[in-house]
Amino acid sequence: MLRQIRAQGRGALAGFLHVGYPTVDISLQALKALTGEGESEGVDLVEVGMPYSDPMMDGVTIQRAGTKALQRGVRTRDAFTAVEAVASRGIPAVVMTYWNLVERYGADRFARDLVSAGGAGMITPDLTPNEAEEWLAVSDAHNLDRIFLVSPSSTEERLSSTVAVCRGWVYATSLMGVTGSRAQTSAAAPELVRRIRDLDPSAMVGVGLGVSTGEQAREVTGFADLVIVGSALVKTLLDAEDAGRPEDLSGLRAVVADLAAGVRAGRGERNGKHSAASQSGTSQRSSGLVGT
Amino acid sequence: MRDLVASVDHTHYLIGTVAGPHPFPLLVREFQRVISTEARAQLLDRYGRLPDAVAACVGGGSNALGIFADFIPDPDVALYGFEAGGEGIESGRHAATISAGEVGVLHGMRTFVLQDEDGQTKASHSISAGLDYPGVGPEHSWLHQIGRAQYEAITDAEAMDAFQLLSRTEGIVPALESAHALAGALKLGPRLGTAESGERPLILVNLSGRGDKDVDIAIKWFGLDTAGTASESAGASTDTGPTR
Repeated sequence: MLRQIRAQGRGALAGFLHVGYPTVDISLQALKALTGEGESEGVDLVEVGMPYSDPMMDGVTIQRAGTKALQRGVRTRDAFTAVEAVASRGIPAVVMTYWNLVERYGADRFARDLVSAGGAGMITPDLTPNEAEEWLAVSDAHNLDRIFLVSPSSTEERLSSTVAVCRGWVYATSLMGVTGSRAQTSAAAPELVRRIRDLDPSAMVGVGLGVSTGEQAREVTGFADLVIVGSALVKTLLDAEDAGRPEDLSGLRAVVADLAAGVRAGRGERNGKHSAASQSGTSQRSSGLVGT
Repeated sequence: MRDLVASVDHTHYLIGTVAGPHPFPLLVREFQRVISTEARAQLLDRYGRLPDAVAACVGGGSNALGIFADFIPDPDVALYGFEAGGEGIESGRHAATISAGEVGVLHGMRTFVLQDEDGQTKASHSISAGLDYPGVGPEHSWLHQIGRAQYEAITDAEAMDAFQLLSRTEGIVPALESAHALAGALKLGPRLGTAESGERPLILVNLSGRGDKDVDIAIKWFGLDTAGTASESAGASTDTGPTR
């Protein structure tokens, strides 16, 4: 899927939202809203996040939403309902979860239920390849994508072993830190992507952490195959609830539209500074494939 | 850990217990090992033999692993870890991770965790802050699983009784955490029994901390914080014993 989109001359967009925030039902609507509606474009991939009691990689936005979702009773099995909802829109969905929830559910059972729901794979932020034996076997048995994380501080050895076990794409965290929107994406990201491509020129790479605008998204797709947006989307739901209208998805839709337009404005130049006119027809469409 | 991830280029992570991702449990064990090295030598010197049992409180597990470490290869030395039983296991308000938890993955380690049906971490409770943790160092989980060490839960009430007993009899005010080890040792002694020779069991207890920090909690627990004098509290006696 990522390769097809790249062949169209643009980077792909992934959106992350929890299942269960602000409620399970509204989250299903929100996840569907990510996929775009009517004439509005949406994301190319949905990450269904499982709320967790100890979200070690998450900043305050995702922590807040996750905590409320747990307080309101979200369960692991709700993730499959969410995946089904997204799949029903014809958009691929992966689950992003800390490992203990899968372990408790039973890895094989989880994989089976994920496949039944139409899920494509799983992102496992706190699983390292050398501890992932069970997941490697189960994802092979059920033909699921398995996406591990690498970071700017990853050693060559770890980068190599992690890239080697990924199937689908590699999640490159763009900076050393936790999730959360930032005014500028980091300088460490292009370097990390370059290191990954040096190891495996055919690797599909997704970059996340810090992206909140269409402009940033476009910039990231200048050097990565996939730009991942999470906190910026979750924030729209927190804001809606804070304003007393948790069911109001208009803020979410606006951000999705901006991001989707951003990645469709063509491949950004690696070194350029660009205006915010992401909808103009002057974008450069590079037919070449970045990084190969 | 979140801060560490963002500052790893210029900051060392100095965790105070034998928990978290490798190599921290190993590092902290080795830093704490000196406790058992010295204790073992001193016991041999003073008593001419090894203890029958070693007792320590277990939160994350560092003081316990420290005092267990050099004794682990001694098969005749029993090892006992005493966890925070809080208000009792049945109450659900406790931090007895090995007694009441199940194996899971938390904070970068595979260990016993107090968790719900889905694997979400449960809140832990103990009168002592240092034992109030829903996980436990992975080496303790291993010692438990291979049967080398036994882990038992001690309630808040049992710990406070031991706190008071040591204070009165030895003039040493123990940390609330260490009071769990003392309470455990008090229960353990009679179980170990007396040898045929008439010799009583020798138990090494790790008094892992001082209780100066816990005086406020003790005052509340023993009802010493009522305004006015002892004559105003029930049972007007000058001997202000525990109200529970």
